[in-house]
Amino acid sequence: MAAAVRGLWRWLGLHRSEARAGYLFVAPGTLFILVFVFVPMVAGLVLSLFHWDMLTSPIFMGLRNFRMLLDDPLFLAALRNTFYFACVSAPIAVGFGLVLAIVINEPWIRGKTAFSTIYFIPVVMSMVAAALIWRWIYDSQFGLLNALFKLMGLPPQMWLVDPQWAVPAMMVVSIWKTVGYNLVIYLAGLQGIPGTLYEAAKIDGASRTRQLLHITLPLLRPTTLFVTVMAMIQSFQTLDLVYVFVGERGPDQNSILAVYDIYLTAFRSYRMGYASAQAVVMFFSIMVFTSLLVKLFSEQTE
Amino acid sequence: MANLRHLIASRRRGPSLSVRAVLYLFLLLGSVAMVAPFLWMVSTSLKTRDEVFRYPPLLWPSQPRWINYIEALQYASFGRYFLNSLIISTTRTVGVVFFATLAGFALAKLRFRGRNLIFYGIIATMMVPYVINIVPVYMLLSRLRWPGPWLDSYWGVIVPQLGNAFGIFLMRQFMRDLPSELIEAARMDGCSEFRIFWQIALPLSTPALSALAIFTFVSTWNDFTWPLIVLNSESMKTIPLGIATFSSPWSNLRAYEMAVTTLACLPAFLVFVVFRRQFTEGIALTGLKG
Repeated sequence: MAAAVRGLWRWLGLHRSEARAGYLFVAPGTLFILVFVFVPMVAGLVLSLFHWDMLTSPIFMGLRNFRMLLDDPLFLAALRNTFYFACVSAPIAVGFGLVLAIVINEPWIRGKTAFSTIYFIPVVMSMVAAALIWRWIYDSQFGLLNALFKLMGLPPQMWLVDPQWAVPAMMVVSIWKTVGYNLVIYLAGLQGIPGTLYEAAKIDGASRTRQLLHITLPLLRPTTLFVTVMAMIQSFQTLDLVYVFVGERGPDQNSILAVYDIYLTAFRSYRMGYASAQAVVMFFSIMVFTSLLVKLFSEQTE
Repeated sequence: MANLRHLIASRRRGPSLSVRAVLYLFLLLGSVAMVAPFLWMVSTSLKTRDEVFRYPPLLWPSQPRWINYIEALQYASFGRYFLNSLIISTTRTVGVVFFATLAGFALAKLRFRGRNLIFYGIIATMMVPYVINIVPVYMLLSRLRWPGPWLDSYWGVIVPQLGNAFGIFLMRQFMRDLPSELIEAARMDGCSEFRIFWQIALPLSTPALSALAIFTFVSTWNDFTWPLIVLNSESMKTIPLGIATFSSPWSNLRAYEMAVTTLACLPAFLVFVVFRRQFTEGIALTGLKG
């Protein structure tokens, strides 16, 4: 026994103070991640197989929670809305960020810092504050947007309730709030492209469009992947925006997003197992989606 | 030679005047779209009840009604929210930065068995969508009783978020470029590993350190999900939680709502104005290395 411990001690190199310090320094940060990220992740997967209301003891359900998901109109609507929301708003926000960065990076543009600062303001504000402002703009009776519509002779809309507008209304807020972040990352990416490449292209007589297509965009591909994956993961897990938009009315199939449904299932209905099953579906959706993105991008590079 | 002259001329010329005008217009319209909602918020917060509901909408009230702010604060214990946000954000920032730099230093500069395994394990958790953790972490917190109940407490919000894979990754990448000879020399002189970390590695890593600190602070300050799940009493609410559930029983609700939202935006705005450069440079750092 003592010999085994001594063997392990030597194998880990714990007689060296450098290795001892290494383990000691890594321990706290790793431990927090282990206890509050890794273990809960496994627990979430296990929990999705149970029925548990937190009061009585958990009952094993097998995959029945997942069968029930298929007959849950609110969750299916939430899933559909979330995919629609993420797959439209994230690419648009990335695209706008890219275009803005390319324009601001032009050598003749004045006020580069001023522009990137202004576009960054919504990024630093809390989503709750942004959602409150936009909820007031979208107000069906006295909101700014419908007032503008009226001035232009267009019929007012119930932006937050209408099945056609509820999700797009959230997309606008999300795009408005994340464009500045993408812009700043793209600007950094653009500044990392060596100027000599453009000089060479100019001498060869390449037009500005060709330079953009054959130098700028290919070299920005890693940046685009990073920004898109981040935007996707974030929009798939949007909670604050929909919480504020739906808050006064209660959820309906037109406006609910997945994480909000999970929140309601867990903390309003106390169906912990079922909520975990919903979370597992979201979890794998996001994982599959991001790995597809990574694959798509790495194939194009070859 | 002709080529060169052409090159110089074309660079001086750039795109034509009309193209420039269109692009400037594009940037300006975008800027207006970014700022206008905030101006509308402030404008609404200063209106009387009648002005709020006027059509066509009044762009700016003739007589700003500052008393809206005082009246609105009767329905929101904003001072309390502010204090809670400050305590939670500051503590979490200090903790995350300390533990992340410590681990980042070890993973970058100290040699021990399993170092890479640990590093890749940490990176893998960066990809875990938090949605799967909401329910299990809540259940875990509901069971913890020492030094007091963890639900509805400061540490219930702070401690689960102290491990930060992104922070460890960022610090490790940055510290890898620090000169190893310096560390080796200090070790020869009999410096303890912690002193090497504290007095050599840390001061040399201030750019990454301040970027991580600012991001952690602002994201904690704005965070909604964890406070929503962990906290429930009025006296524990953070600012986002407080304003999301704001309601006043009568009259000028929209103006009050926008007054409280303005107050909520103010601290983040001030931090941004003061640390603007660290923000953009920090993002560049994370974007390029990520």
